[in-house]
Amino acid sequence: MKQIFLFIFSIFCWSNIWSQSTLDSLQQLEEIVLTADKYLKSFSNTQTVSVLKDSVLRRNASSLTQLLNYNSTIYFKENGLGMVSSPAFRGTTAQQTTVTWNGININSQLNGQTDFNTINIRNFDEVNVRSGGGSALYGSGAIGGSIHLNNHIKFDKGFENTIYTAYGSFNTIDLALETSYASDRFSVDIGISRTSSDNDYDFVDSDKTNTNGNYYNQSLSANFGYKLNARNILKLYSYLYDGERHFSLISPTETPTKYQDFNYRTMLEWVGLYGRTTSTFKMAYLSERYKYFENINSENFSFGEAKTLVGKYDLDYKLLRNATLQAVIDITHTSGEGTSIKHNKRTISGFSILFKQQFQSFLYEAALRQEITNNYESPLLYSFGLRYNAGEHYAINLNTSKNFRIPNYNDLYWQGSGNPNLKPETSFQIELGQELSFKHIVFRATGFYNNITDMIRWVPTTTLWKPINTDHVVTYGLESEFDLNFNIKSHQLSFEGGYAYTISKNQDTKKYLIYVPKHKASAVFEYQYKRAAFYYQMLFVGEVFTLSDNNSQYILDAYSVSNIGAEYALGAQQQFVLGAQAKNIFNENYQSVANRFMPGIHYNFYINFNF
Amino acid sequence: MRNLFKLLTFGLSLALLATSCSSDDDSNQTQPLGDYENGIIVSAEGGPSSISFISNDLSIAQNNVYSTVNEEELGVYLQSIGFNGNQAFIVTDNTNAIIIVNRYTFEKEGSITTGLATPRYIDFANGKAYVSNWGDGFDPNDDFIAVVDLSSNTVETTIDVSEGPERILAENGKVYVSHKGGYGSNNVISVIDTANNEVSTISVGDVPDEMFVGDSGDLFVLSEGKAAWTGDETVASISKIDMSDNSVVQTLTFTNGVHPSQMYYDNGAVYYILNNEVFEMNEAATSLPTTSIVNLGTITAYGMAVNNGNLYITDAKDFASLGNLLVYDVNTGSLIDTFEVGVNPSKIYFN
Repeated sequence: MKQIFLFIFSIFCWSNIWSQSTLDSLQQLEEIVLTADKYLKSFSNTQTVSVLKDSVLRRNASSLTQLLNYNSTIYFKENGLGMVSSPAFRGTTAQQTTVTWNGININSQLNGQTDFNTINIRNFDEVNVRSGGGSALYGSGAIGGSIHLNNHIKFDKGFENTIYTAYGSFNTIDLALETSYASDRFSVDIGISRTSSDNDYDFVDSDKTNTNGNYYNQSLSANFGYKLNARNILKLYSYLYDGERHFSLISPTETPTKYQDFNYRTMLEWVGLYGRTTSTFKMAYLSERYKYFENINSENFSFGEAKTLVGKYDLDYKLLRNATLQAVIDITHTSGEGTSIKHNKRTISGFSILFKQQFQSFLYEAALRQEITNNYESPLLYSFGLRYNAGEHYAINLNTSKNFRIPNYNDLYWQGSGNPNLKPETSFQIELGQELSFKHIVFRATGFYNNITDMIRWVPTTTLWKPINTDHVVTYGLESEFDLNFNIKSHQLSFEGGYAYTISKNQDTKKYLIYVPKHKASAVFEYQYKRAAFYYQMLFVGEVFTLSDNNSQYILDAYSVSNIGAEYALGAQQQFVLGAQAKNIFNENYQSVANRFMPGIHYNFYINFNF
Repeated sequence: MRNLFKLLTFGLSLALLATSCSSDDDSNQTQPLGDYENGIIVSAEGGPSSISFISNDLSIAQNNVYSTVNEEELGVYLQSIGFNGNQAFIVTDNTNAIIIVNRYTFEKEGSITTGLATPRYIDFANGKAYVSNWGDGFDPNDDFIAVVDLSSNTVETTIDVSEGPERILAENGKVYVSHKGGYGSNNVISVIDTANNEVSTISVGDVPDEMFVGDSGDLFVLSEGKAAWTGDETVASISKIDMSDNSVVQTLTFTNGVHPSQMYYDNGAVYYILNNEVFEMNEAATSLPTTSIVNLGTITAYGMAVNNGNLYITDAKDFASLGNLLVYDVNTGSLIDTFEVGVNPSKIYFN
């Protein structure tokens, strides 16, 4: 409680000082209003951020897993289509990838990770992938990288609506509606979406079928913006997610189970622009709850829930014409419990300082962050990056950072097993990126090295399993991206390809981490002629070990999956888009997790209507 | 074992992908050695579940016996195997199934796939099999013993029992069931009269697991006691039960805060593991031994058996890689041999 009072007190002091200033800056306002996730634009210049926009989102299934599997170098292990899915970003663990919602870290407080099949992408304006360490900006878990789900609040664009509807194999229905109205002072944007599927696909080269794999999820997003005056703007973001999945069976005689997620988040943001100073105050409330039914026909379930209140004050001061200094103070209060977790509260305060300076062809940015909590010792987090543009075609980036993943509720408080003496996992990393860009060609390559110590692993003790800080893992590798774009009259040709080479090794056992492929590649080739577009999409995932002793008899084979699609736009403004897709056209028989078979060839049809 | 299952549940809530069974096709290339007679059978829970064979003279070892012979995988998690005549009954709890094979060739002869709910152990009496079933591990009211007609291999009837029936032992027309307690805990032995399926109970210490009949005709039961994390820690004990009247005639109690596991009985002696040390006690003893016969070091001891002067221990390592079978000389305590077996090896049988 004391921490909370201190926090509110300091905010009042700061706001009073800075609201004295009266300089107008409408242009600055325009930039600020777009996104609540401002570090992504202002403090991510020395790392790779890829933006996945509307057209990419539209062509993908609604799950975040599928979107990122085909459009990033992140590897996913998915327990069958639509089931539990966890990422390995740059060879790290599921808890070492952060997902943020409008700038707020939304990884589960209970298990420290995000199940990427519980995020429906339809309600977001933009999905961004930020590679590499980001704990100094985004907090716990941003070790391999972070995924950013953002909504934009725009003014002055009138009344706009989008209807998206898709139907595909296995009775998969994917619907999304978005309606927005924005005047010069007021903005409202409401989105609803629902995806459901019987998900009863036949396994390739087998007489078996995916059983008990059906799922649905529905979400509601509501975002408001209001300009109080030229210097002050209020934004309110809200999001509600409700999903149920039956977990598919490996053997038909298994007892069928199901899993329900219910997540709610809301955030109020007040941005003040006072000349050289920008002040941002945020209050967010996040609620997560799951129920697991071990027997679908029984009323019995186990559950976990956590409620988190976040307060954040961010003061941005333009120190020089080309330099910005930011100070951030935040507090996170979480209260959680579950079937095997007694009710526990935890409060974390954080202090950050960020500095950026930009010259003609040279830029550097630095961030320092210290968190304070009673639960464990937090390391000093930092990030320091340089970017140098040598001419207009070549740029080079260097970034080094210290990052962490804090122990989660399960680690700390699991009845009987929880270890209150855990330290955060810490990661030191360094990366060097190069970028060549010409009119038609862009090529990026980033080499990274990531040394992760004190990794938490649950180990058997004499009578119990307990999490301890034991593993030391080094990951290193290369991420690369190659884009081509040509226009010849009405013909448009484009190619986007990504490839990652990843080595992730436990330094004590000298073994590779399980479920991390050395090679992953994805590519999209597209040809567009006037209103018609055709594309070919490819995914390649190298072999992975499934046992920690890297036994060669227990390897999952490499696989490659190809999809094709076509789109045609109707209407005067091409506002009506019809699409058809055939997925896994070569009927590849593959598993991303042992014995969890994925579907063979299947189809999807969609209509997108903007009006 | 309960802790493993707690962990598995935990795994789900972690939303981690529980390791599941699979092996590359390459693993099935070795041909069967012929008879799996005169050897040691080690079952591994998985996943993937598997069965290993090691000849009695320790000269031949083969992994993945079942999948090699039958070209199909065993479901997870292989809990136990029961032997009856020429047949072996492989109990996999997650799949609610029992696979029946010829115990010497391991060729599949049948299966029982209906009427079971998280089956744990099996034993045989009067031409019938008795299978302990947890049902839903959290539900204290759905536990039962399935009675299987061995001529048709179907569940002919079920007998309701209290929470968490674990080991099952048939002796003289009676079936003894230790109630370890599923995800919770229990403290009784059920005694089923096979003539009329009537159930009586014997109270023992908390969390009773392994049971063996000694040469003296008494039943030995190891109760592990409730662990400290339950907030209600209780002592562990070894109970000796007179099987003529089912009365507890002796209870040897361990000191507070220690929880032995993996009891085994061979040739007049009771063995158990405490803090990774193996203790041996004469079945007539009236107090617990104070010195161990073998110190296992830092392994993850997950199963134990004793036969013909050899002590067999399974090491499950990190529960995510292939485990080992360690063979010690009971008399000298020295390690004789080590074999790599399946993932999470838990039971050792002598064929």
